[in-house]
Amino acid sequence: VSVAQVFVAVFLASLLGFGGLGSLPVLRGQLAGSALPTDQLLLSSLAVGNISPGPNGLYLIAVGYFVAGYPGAAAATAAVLLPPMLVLLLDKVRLRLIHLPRFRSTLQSLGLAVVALLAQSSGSLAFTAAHTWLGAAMAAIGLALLLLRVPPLVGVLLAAATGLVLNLS
Amino acid sequence: MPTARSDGQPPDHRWLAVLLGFARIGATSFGGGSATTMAMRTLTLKRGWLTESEFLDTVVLSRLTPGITILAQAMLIGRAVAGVRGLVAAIAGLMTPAVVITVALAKVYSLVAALPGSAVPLRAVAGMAAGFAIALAVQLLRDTLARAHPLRGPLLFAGYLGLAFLIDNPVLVLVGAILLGVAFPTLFRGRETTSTADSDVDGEESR
Repeated sequence: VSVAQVFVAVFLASLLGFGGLGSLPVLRGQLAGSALPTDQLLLSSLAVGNISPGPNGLYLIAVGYFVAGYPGAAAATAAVLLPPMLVLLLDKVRLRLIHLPRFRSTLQSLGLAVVALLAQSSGSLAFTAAHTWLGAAMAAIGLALLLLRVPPLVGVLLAAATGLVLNLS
Repeated sequence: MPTARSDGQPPDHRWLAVLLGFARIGATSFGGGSATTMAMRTLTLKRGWLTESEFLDTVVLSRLTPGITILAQAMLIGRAVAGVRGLVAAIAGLMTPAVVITVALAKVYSLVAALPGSAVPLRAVAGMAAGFAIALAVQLLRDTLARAHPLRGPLLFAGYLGLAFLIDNPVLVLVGAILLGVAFPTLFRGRETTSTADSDVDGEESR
């Protein structure tokens, strides 16, 4: 996968997704056609993104790094910066658009579709991760921890420590 | 969008305050979208850059924008404080430390993955990440349904979920969602808009 392909994939995923992980389904769909181990790559990137500072969507930069090294990370960074710039255009026209029922309904419809796609792709990723009892247990614990607002770093350290202990035993 | 009030800084130097303030957030706001949003709120209110209501305006507008919502919000805040220079300073400040740390962690992850005996710990970390992704989807669903019609919202979500499983192309599902929203606006009429801003700051978990 070339750096240009990383840029295009991350840009499209970011453009078509609203919110941090809204990009996940589109990116997963694009990577599925490549020779990359898509789910493993995304799970590794999500793990890195979860313990990094800033928004959750920065997992895309980890994807760029894992696929094409530092140039890939740079391309992904550029790609995630472009779609949010549309806010400047939106700010100019919002007074006219915000009251249009069709504009609001389209955003509402897109919001529901993005969440549905995210639920489906997250479920598939969890299915991939849960093919061992350890992965399944960690997925359940991760779900509970984040819903209880425990910092993600705690979860990642707990998982790594559990894995190390199991390795030693 | 709102224009910033004075924070005691000469107008020419305000972009520097924006850069430093957002750099601190980019380096220290561990915990995802909610932590970053709360840090931006604290910064803007403490410095007197925006009022609470103006801050909520940036939250609402950025949620309508594709991509990473928090980046859109940082752009709006930076521009309100110091124009285009403020916009660039906010994004540079927020992204530089966050990107450097993310790439460094990805590098460490790659190095650890190459070590013998790393398979089991990394399998556990991947499982944890999958659990986090599901939790974020649950939080995003909760936030989205809070703004949707109480009956039609869940039904439409279920319909889109069915499509997501049936059609192996997320872009097609999104295009379908746009067409449905344009063709049948009454289907998506949600709750009263007055509640939107109140729930928006809380609804930043998955951003």
